[in-house]
Amino acid sequence: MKELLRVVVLFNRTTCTFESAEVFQELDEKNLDDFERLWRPALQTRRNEFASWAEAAAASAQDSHWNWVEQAKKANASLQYETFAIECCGETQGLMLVDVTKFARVDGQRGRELVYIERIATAPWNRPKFVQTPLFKGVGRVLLGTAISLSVGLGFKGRIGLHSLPQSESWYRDEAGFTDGGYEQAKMMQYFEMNEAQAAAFIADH
Amino acid sequence: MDRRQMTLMLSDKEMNLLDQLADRRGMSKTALLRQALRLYQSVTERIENGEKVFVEHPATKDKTELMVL
Repeated sequence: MKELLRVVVLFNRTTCTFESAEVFQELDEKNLDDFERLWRPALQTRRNEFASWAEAAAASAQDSHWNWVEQAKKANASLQYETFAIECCGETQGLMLVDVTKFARVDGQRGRELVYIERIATAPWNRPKFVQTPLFKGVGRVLLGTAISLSVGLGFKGRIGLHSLPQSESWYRDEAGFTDGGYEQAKMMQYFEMNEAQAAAFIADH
Repeated sequence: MDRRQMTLMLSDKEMNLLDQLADRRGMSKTALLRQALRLYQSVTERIENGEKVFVEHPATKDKTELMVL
């Protein structure tokens, strides 16, 4: 059942004010309806403007094929996955799917339990390369903080991991403070991981 | 999240193992048992879906298939 975890603030770029937002664990019909009605058509329209996936990714439509309805079903049927949503102004501003049965791979914590962020996305209208005037800033940070909180709650001490798309690698490494775990051929993506100290620093800084 | 309570009776041997594992993993006993349940479900579902789960020896690369009956 959908549960309110905390109330946060997001920065509204158009009004230059902070607005109250709510973070929920587990998606409900409202989130999935927002995805189907507001996110998906925008993402698919944008994807169709480009011949290649790489071009679409550069324009922030890299996740046009993600089906959050299917992901929510998967999560509801298993203890392996958890889903999260952030809502503001009556609309779903961000979504995240995590796997809580993965293990760390980076030296110093290899083999330890972590929260693996399988999918994380902000709404199309919040993406700087997607729209000329993106609306809310900070959705990704809030969702990463939520993954860290989950990790702490599960006894994993804040450890989290994820694979990054090329355009986000520098943010995860340089801004968020992840350790670069190297390129993973099977996924064709760079792997990043955060340890306990990095997670604590991220929470303190953001 | 709704919670339901159960009482779990463990033998000395089982409790000692739970203590040791929780210490080695740096987790509470409750967190460890919850994680064990998640992992057991994950492995069971993968095998039921026709996937194979292996344990590989680091040196010899010998693989042992993990079976869940």
